[in-house]
Amino acid sequence: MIFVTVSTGHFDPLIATCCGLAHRYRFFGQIGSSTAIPNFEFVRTMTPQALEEKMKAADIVVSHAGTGMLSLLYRLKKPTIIVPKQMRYGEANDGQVELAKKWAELGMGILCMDVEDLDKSITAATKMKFDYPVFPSLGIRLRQHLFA
Amino acid sequence: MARPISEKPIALVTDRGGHWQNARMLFEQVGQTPDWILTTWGPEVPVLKKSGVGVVVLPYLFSWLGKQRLLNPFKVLYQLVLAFYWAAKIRPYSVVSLGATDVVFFCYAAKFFGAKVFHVECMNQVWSPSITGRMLYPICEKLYVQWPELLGSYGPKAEYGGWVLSEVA
Repeated sequence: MIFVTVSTGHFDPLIATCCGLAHRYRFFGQIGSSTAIPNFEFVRTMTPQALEEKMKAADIVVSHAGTGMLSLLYRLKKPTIIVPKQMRYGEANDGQVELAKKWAELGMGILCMDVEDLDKSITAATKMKFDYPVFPSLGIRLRQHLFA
Repeated sequence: MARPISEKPIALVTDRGGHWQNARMLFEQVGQTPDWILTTWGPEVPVLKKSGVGVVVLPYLFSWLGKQRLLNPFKVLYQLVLAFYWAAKIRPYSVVSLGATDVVFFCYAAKFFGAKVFHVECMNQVWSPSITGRMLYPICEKLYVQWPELLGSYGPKAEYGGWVLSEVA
């Protein structure tokens, strides 16, 4: 199962692309406020617990590049295709693009800048060995200064 | 039931969504809950209000005109008043900012009342500094970036401190 998640906002081009591929892959969608209605099983919103369970159950997750979503996927070590929301898809800004590129650069996901490339990205995700580097803890550094 | 406020109160000021997620993970690492959380409205707010932490909901500074986001002068004025009111009431010892533009007024107000301000750039900012980061840098004790690539965009008060997410399940 491929879990497609767009958080609380909308991402119609991604949902529409998944509809076009639904005869080849089994999708489950969390579509937020998207107006495109999927031809596969979907919900609009999920509780954090349900979201995590669905991610665990998925073979691959297709996600927008929100920090909350990517952080959770990093913790779960889940094969991820990252499709950043962009101005050309109706977003107010391209704020997700940098993180999406960095995530892919580190091997933590496959970057899909164009929804038309989603099929190729799914094929790549089934073959790729993902990497999950460990980083220093910022909170420990901050704690040293908070009460000083 | 509200818990007692500590001698050196810590205020967290952040935005909803991904910023809030970053902030929550950051304080897991810090190992302490902030005494006050100031944030914009989101599904987390009712849960937070039951947790015993002081919660203040700040208005968004922007309004939507179709798909266009515009700075709303009435909300700006309202938030400015709220920021000084709450900064005077809370008198935080330290403020941790992790958020969008909605956090800026409170940070300046808290600085006015003597607080130490720490800003953490969101994980999204890999190569480009945020507008919030640039606005807050002058009053920060430290400004933390989550990617070393971003250090070149700031001065000596900026530090790479690692990630707000450091544990792998």
